[in-house]
Amino acid sequence: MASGPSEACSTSVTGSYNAPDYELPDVNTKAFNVGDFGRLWREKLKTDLSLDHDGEEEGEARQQLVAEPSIPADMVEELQMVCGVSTLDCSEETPNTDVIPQDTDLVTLQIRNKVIEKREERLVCDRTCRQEIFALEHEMQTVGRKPSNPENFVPAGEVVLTVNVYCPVIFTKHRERKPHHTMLVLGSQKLTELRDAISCVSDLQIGGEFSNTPDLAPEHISKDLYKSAFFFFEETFYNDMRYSECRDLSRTIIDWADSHDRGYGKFHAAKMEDYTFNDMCIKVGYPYLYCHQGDCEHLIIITDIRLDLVQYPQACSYQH
Amino acid sequence: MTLTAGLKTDFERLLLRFQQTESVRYEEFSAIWRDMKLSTIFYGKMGKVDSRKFTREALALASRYFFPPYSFQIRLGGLYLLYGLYNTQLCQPKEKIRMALKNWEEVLSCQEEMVNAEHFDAIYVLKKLLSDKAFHFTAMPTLLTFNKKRKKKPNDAVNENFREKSNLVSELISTEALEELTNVHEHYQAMKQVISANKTQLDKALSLIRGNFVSDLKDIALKFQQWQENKNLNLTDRSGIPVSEDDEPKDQKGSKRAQTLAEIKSKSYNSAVKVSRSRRHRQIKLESEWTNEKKSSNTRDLSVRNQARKKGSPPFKKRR
Repeated sequence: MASGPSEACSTSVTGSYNAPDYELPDVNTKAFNVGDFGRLWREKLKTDLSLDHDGEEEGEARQQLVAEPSIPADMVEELQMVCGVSTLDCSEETPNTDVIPQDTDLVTLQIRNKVIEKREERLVCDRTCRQEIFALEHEMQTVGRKPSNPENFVPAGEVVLTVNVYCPVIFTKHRERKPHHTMLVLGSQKLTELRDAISCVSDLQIGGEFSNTPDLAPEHISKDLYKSAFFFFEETFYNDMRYSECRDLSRTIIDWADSHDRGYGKFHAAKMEDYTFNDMCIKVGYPYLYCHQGDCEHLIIITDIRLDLVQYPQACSYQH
Repeated sequence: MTLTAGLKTDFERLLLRFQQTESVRYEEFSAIWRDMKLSTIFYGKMGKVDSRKFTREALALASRYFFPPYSFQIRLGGLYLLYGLYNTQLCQPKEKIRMALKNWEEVLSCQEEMVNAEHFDAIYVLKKLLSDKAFHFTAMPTLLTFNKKRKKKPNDAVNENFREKSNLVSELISTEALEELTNVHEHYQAMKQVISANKTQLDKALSLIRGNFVSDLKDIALKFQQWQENKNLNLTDRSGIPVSEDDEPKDQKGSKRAQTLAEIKSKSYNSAVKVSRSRRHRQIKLESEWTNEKKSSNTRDLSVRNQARKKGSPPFKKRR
C-alpha cells in the first residue's frame, strides 16, 4: 500500500506546470509539487540572474550592470548618479531614527506618534508575542557568520519551506492560534529530519512509579521508548520506520476508514525516511498532522515556500 | 494591523503626485519622495520585532502597485516605491521583497515594455534590486496560515484613479464576438445564394451590407489596439522634453484613425443585420437611446427581442 505523493499530485506533475495558486483566496493554495516549484523558479531566473553570484561589493555590482545588455554602457555612470540610493535621503545629517519629526505630513507617522504618546501617558506596553521574539533572536544569531565546516553551507538555489508547528489544541485555552515552533526546512531534507527537530513536552514524559526512589535519575524518557510517529500529508500517512520498535500508527486509521463506506477517500501509507520535501505535493497554508507518542497530535501548516539565492549556514535549519 | 494604519494613504498620496507629473522619470519620483520625506516612515520607537513586521507589510503593500490592474505609470511608480522602501529601511539585515511565481510573468512583461520604450532609469532600478538580491522568490505573495476568519482588509481595495484605463473597444470586439460575426456573416451569404435566382451570383437587390464587413472590423480593431499601445509608449522621454517631433504625426494618425473608426461604426451599425433563418423569431431591433446597462444577453429576455447597444456593438445574439 506504499504509494507516495505521486498519486495525489497527478495534476501538477506534468509538462504544462502552472504557478501555485489559491484554492481559497488568502487561506490556502492548491496542492503542488515542491521540487517542481523549485525547478520552475530556477529555470525562470537562470535567464536573468546568475545564481552563483555572491559578491556584495560595489565594484562587482557595477560590472554586472555594465554587462547588462539593455542599458547602454555610457549611461551606467549617469544612471548611478541619478538613481543612486543617496537620492532617497531626506535629511542632511544622520538623524535620530527614534524621534518622529514634528512637522511630518505622513499619516502613518502621525498615528504612530499618537500611539507612542498614549503609551507613555498610561505606562502601558503592547504585549509582544514571545515566540516572535525568540524567533527573531534565533535568526539573528546566524546572521553574518559562516559555519566552520564548509559542508554545512546550503547551496544557493535551494527551496526553503517555513513550517509552523502548533501545540495540541486545547480549545478553552488556546484561542489565539500562535504556532509553537516555526521552522525553516530545506527541500532536500528528509521528513525524518523535521520529525527529529520538533520537540514536544510529551516526549519528555517519564512513565512509571518512582515514589520509593524519587532522587534516582530516570533512565528513559518517552522519546526513547515510544519512537513511532507519522506525518499526514494529502491523503498519505508517512510513518517513521527507522527503528525496529517503531510501529505503524496509521494502520488503525486506514483500516477504520476502509471498513465501512464512511465517505473518506483511500488513504495510503508510506515510510517517512524515504521521502524528502522536494518529493512532496502539498498545499501552502493548509493544515496537516503530525502525531507521535501514540496520541499527541500537532497541526502543521506550511506557511511559505521560497527559493533562496543566498547561501545559508546550515545551522539556520530550524528556529524556535 | 494597526502598525500599517495610514500607510496606504501615504503611498497613494505619493503615487497621485507622481501620476500628476505625467512622467515616468525616476528624478521626478525621487523629488516627490524627498519632498514628502518618505524615508522617515520608518522612524519612531518600534521594537525590533515590530519594525520588521512593519517593514514587511510596507513592502507587501508597495509591491501590489507593481502589478496589474494598475496603469503602466503607476506600476513604474510602484517599482520606484519598492526601491525607495527597500533601501531606506532600518532593519539590519534587510527585509526582503516577496515575489510570487504567478506574478513573475507580469514583471517580465513590464521589463519588456520598459526596454522597448527605453526607460533606462526604470530598467536600472529593477536590475539593481535584482542584483542586490532584494527578492524572495516565493510560492505565494503572503504567508498563509489557513486563517478562515479573515476579514476583508481595507488595504485590498484598488484605487480607481490608478487603474489601467480599460480598453472598451477590445472588450466589445473580442475574439468570440468576431467569431460569431464571421459565422453569421457566412451563413447569411449562403442564405442569399440559396434564394437568389442565379446560383453563382447574388441578386443585386439582396446586397444590403458590405461584403467584407467582418474583416474590415477586425482590421480596425487591431489598428486601434496598436495605436493605443503606441500612445502608452509616448510618455516624456529621457531629457524631459515632451513628445518629440516625429511622435506628433503618430498622435495625429491616431486621432485620424479614431475618427475613421467612428465614421465606419456609425455607417455600418446603424442598419440592423438581418438574422439568419434559424433565428428568425429573434429579430434585431435598434434602440436609438443610449443605454448603459450590462449586456442583457446574459439574462433571459421574455420579449425575445435583442436590442443593439449604445456603442454601436454588433447585435449580440443569445446562444440557445
